[in-house]
Amino acid sequence: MNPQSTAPESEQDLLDALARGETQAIATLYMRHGGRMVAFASRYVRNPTAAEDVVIGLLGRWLERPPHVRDAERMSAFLATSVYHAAIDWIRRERAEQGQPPRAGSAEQPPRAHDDRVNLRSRLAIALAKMSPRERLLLETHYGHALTTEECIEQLGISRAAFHQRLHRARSHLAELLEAENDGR
Amino acid sequence: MTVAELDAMLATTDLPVRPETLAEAWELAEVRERPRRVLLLVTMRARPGAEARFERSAREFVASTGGLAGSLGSTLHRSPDDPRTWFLLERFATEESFARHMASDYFARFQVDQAGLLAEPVTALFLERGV
Repeated sequence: MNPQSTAPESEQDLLDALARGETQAIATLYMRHGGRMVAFASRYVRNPTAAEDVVIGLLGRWLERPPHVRDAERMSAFLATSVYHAAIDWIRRERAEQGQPPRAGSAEQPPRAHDDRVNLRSRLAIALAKMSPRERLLLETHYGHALTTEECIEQLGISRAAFHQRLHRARSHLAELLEAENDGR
Repeated sequence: MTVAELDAMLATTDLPVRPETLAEAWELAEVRERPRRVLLLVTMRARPGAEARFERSAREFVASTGGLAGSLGSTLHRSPDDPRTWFLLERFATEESFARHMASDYFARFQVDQAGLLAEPVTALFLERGV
């Protein structure tokens, strides 16, 4: 990160300055988007002060490793993805500090070895690529908590009952695809 | 594979979430009024050869700041481009706690240490200020 005195004006200038490691860009980014970053982190960590911790931690990471995002139209996706992953990491650290497993409901599951995790992620990516965007949204809501159930229902324009039916079908479909992937089909 | 087996599998591995889904969630996030903090980003550049002493002094400063009532976090980061440059991110609950920080003994001690260890004046950017 390099100090710099003038604030970047456009979002593209801001991303370029961030990639060059300019500290003024970190300040401008926070002043422009910090409120939404904290609000977004709050969706996942459910605590306003913890949400600030998540965002400030992210700024610290960017000071040490400036992010490279080329397209200003991707600003929202970039910030959302960065804050989401930082929030998930924060939740995991908190659970570890409290002697809890990384995710709720994972207590009975033995931790996976690194190679297993990489292999599973790769199989998941292949299986998910074969699913429709609507199915993926249901799974991202259920497993990834990216949206709330109500938001997903709203996005898909369906009833609560239909949400649960379709979610069950999407889970079954993903299970089938992973099974097929496992069998080399 | 059954749905129960899928659930068990996804209890140990993250399901990848598409950036476009997170961008939708981003737009849905409700930005509420929250207490104004004091958040500042300080840049410091050590003299050649003084890096280790400066780092030690800065880490002591960070630890002392963490013990101040009203400090919500103080972290030290090294520049990836210039190993002599360090950044401090400091957050305080209120202007009053920030003022106590500035008036503290450890702050004065760090100022004295810095005088012999820094190559150039410190710069501070306020990212947020209390009201």
